[in-house]
Amino acid sequence: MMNNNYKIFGLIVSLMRNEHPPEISKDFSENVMQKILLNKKPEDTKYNNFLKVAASVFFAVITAYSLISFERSETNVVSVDIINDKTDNNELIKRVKDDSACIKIENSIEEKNDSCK
Amino acid sequence: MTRNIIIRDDDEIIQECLSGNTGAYKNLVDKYQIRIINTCYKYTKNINDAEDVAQEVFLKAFQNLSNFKFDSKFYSWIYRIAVNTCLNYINSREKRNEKETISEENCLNEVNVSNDNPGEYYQLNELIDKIQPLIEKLPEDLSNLIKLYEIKDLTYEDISKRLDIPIGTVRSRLHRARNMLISEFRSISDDE
Repeated sequence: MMNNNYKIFGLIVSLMRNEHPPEISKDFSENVMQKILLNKKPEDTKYNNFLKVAASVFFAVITAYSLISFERSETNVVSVDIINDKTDNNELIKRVKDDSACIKIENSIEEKNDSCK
Repeated sequence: MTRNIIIRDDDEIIQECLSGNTGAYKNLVDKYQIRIINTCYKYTKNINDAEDVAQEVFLKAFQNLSNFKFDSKFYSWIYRIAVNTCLNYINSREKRNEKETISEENCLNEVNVSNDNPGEYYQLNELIDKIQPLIEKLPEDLSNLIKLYEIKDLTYEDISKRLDIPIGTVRSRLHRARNMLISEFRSISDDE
């Protein structure tokens, strides 16, 4: 016979109230609990999904960080080259500038001399 | 002599379920399975269908347990879920068959009993005659109390006012009455 207190009490009350079917299956409540636990699993997978997302975000951050730091080191190399180029260019400009300054000075001396005449 | 059997209040069990102990819900299923299956049986007129629908009812109730308001009895709440689930079931079955309109009243007639595996079922009709003497064995105050609470569906507060006794006394007497009923039932079922 039923060996659970709640089952027995439920049976007594339902018979007292005359609210009972002619028969009920012996493992009804076990089946209900199985169904409930099966339907509860999605919550666990939700948690697993959360873990998966967290892990992928973590790896994405690490990858992004390493990419950025790698890029920085490359930019440094490039920037040194550019600076060298720039300095070269600047020297050329300087030379050009200096030359033009000399020409200007020469021209002004010549102009002065002409005016003295 | 009666052993101290603990039958907790529904509210306590619900609180336990809500705090994460899913297993506690089995106590509610055990306690109300017969009455809920009976409600479904009135609509489906077939015990197998009634149990399928009742399973759905208990599942729905579990999933919506957080919406339960503690100002009413758990049975009244789950009973409404049962009626709605049965009407949905009947309507969908009828739509499948003849698209006949269903109302709450016309479902409650004609009941068929059909079952292929009697060994897997408790035959409840055989137990009715054994229950009445158990209640008669109870002292009058306890028997009145159990009738007020379990049959007339009064709350502890209502009973306390009606009998002019403190709520604590109502609780303890009900606890004693339940213990005695369960112990007596065990003793008669052990004898057989």
